[in-house]
Amino acid sequence: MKAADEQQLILRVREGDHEAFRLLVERYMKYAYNIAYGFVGDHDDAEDVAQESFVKVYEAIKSFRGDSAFNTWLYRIVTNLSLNRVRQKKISITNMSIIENSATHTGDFFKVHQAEETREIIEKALHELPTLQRAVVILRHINGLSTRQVGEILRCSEGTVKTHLHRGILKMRTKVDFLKDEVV
Amino acid sequence: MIRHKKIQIQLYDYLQNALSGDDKIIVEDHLRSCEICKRTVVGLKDVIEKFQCLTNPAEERSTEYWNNFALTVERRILNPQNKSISPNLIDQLYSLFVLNKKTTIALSTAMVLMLVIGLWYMNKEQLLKVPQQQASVQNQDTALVEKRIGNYFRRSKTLLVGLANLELEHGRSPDLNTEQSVSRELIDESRDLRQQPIDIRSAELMRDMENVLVTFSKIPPQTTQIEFDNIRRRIYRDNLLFKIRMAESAYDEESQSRQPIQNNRMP
Ligand SMILES: [Zn+2]
Repeated sequence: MKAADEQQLILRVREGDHEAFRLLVERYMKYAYNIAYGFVGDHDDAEDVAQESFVKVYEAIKSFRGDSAFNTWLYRIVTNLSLNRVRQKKISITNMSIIENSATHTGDFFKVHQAEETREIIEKALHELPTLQRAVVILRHINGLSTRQVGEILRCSEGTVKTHLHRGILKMRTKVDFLKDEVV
Repeated sequence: MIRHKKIQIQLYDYLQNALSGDDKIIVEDHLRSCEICKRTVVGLKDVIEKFQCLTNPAEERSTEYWNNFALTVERRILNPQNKSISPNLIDQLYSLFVLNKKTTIALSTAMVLMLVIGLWYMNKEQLLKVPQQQASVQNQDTALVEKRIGNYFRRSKTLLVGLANLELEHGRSPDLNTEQSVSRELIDESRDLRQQPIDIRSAELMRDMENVLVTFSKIPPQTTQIEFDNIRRRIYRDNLLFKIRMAESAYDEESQSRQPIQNNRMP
């Protein structure tokens, strides 16, 4: 979609055009979902966060001045709501991970073969990162946004994004290191 | 040492192929002699490659899920209470009941109170029935339209299911008399309904349905199977049956919760 078309669409949404809003949702729903999923790591929560983000978009579209691209604005909303959700869930997650850890370390700890399990471990390592590092990794590497756009979403410089990426990824490496042998 | 620090910062860009030619050469030179940076590059690369296994969770959801996503968002806007309750929330509520006696007592008391107030209110409503009926003439109109829409979708669904399942005898023209006359009735009904203040989604669906039904109702009696199959393909391609089913269930829910979507535009 061209920028001008999107501008037009947003104008229509502001005027209360139902159809335009639906087009906008349909265009971005999967991106929003993937970002939310990256943070919350769960389909039910990702759904809830993604939907809530569009409700917020609808409610706040009048205040959207177009200083940034629409998708940057949307992804910022998704990121904020996701982080809130993660914060809310933090207590139950901490309780969970104690159980998960003990389960992982017994038995087939060294026999991690399935892609499914690799995925779980990566997700877990990701969720253990500090907030900002996790955010940049998710936006950049799971959702494929450019470092510049990630900076715009998180309102920080591209340099900061890269520093967090570098640190976050290396930190993750120490946690997924044992996978190294069987991947080769 | 200064050089090493400067290079470390550039390693991520190096891996992402985001360095200019000169910088790239400098980094590569350095990598030949510095074990620490070499290890860092391997580490970064290793993890970045593994990210590929979790790139697209959205694709784990069905096409139906995505077809329906915008509609769910719209419903949530129209009816903010209509949030799906996540299992996690249920867990939390559950633990609340199990763990906290005081809360349980407070909640039970509240529920009993609500029940009492509810009963009192129902009595009151019966006493006030006559004046309320007068006030609700307008609501009745809306309710009638709602009912007609519900009916329309139900009948459309039956027709589409019938068409999808119609067994054709080989080499014979299908007898479509009944289906065609139902189609004409549905066309008339949707044309009329679309003049009413109904929600835009239903109106659009009716229009799509109308387009197909108009073509279908014009098929001559001695039609070839090919023409009929074209219609079926169109129904399938436009995902009409699915949409109609969704609309039908939405209108069931609406009439049950008595919170109809009334306007073309959102509030
Ligand atoms: Zn070095």
